[in-house]
Amino acid sequence: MLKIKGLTKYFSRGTPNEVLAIDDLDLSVLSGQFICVIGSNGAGKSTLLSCIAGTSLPEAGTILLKGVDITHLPEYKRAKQIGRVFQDPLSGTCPSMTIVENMSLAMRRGKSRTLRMGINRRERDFYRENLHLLGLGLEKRLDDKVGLLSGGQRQSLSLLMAALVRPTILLLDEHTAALDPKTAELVIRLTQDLVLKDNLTTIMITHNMTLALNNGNRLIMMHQGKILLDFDEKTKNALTVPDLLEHFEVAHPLSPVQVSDRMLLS
Amino acid sequence: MTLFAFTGAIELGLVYGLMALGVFLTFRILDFPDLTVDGSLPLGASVVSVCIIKGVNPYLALIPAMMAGFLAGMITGVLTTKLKILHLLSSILTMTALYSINIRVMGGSPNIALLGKPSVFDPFRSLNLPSYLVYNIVFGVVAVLVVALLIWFLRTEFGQALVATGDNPRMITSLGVNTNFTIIIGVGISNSLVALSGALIAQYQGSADVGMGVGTIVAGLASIVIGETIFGKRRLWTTIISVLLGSIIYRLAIAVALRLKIKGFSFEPSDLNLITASLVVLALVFPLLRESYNNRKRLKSCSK
Repeated sequence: MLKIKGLTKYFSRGTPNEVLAIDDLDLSVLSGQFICVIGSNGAGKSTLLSCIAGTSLPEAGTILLKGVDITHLPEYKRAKQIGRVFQDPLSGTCPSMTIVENMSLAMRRGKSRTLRMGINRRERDFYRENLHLLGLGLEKRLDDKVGLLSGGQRQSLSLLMAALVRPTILLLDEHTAALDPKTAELVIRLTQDLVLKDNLTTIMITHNMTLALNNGNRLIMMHQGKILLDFDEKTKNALTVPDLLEHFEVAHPLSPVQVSDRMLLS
Repeated sequence: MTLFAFTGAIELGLVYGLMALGVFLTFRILDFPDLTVDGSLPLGASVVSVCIIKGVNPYLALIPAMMAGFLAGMITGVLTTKLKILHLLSSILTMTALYSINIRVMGGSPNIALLGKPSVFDPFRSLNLPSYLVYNIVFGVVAVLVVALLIWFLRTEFGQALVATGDNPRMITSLGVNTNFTIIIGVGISNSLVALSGALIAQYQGSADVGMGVGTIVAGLASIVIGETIFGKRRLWTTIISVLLGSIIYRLAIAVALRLKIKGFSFEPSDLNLITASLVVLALVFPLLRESYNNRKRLKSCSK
């Protein structure tokens, strides 16, 4: 369903600070897969997501979504197919607008904005039902400004909004990293529910290995812009965190940089 | 204050209120400080004047004036979004260019007189109403219409996308809205309102002048800040009404200030921009002062 071939992305290309963020990466995602992506900082996980979403455009390679080449399509034109939740809980919602207004914006994802009323009376019940699923009592606060909500509430709302209109693919960029452990757990449970309910194809980035092992049906480890390890559901279910670390060591013998770091420290 | 001065201030408050609503659309809704307005106010005035002199109906002449303002705003929007020039600078560039364009529009002269020409007030004058009522009726009707239209517009799907563009561009892009487009249209609409204001002012004072736009943005900001401070900004539609009321209060305050006499010192009309700028500074600083005052009070009550 999503086919990525030879994807290459540089930052600050042509300057002394040039960084190769994604290095000739191939990835094929099947419909209904829930992929967890792990990897150290700078491995290229977030860049991969922003290339799929269109926030950054790659130097080389192609991205096919449902057979359509979207490699160079502007971000707003892909939005119809792609639901996203950002790491920063404040990024996914408009603080000065009410909950209803925010959900109405999400309800029209990828549609042309006309001069019809932007908030629909009939939609309110639908929003209320959806908010009820969160169990945060937000269904009673439809007309409150989103800026009044906590980070966790806002992130839960962002997630709900990303899936309000069924996306072809859901992209979650460390969407629980900025939350306290308890709220993070709530958001993860909500993620599982939403993904299961609509059988959503999902790519979730996380730094938490336990989270990556307990969620989804495929696990990918990235390093230096490449996919280092790729486990299917069966293999993944048998893995533990120490296994994962060991796999990482085996698949990727210490790079010269790390070696020199170690020598310096010892 | 005399009745004449009082009604005069309300007239000005209503007609400049249209401009303030335009500034509100960019400055508050789109988070876009737009100085184009200093040029689009005289643009509206000069276009309407030339049209009226050419024999166009004074009501119909408002349409080309608004279209000219829309175009000026769009140019600022394109400079910002497509050419990536800083928004403040883009608007200054358009404003500067408009100075030359306005003189071109007026056929090479820096002003045009409209004395004895038809105006939007004629149908009401023929009813034998006193002139202050005529102005207040015309400006009042237009202001109420514009406020209603603006409230309606900002509740439409496109209007909501516009509000979201100013609030969280990253989010609304991820929901499929081209923010370049919403900004260009938004700044255009804002400047068409400012041009409408200018077009009515020209007919009101019987002339268009290339220099009449100086200080427009500051007067607009003053109206917004006064309106928001006095009448609050709980909901979008209440804020829009607050801005119009703010404009009226601002003009009343100016009228009072101009009549102030302290031991032989009095303000001149040319001091208006100084008074306005000071007023805006005060109004902008006021919330800060209030907060530090409250904090100090709280500290004192704690130490007791």
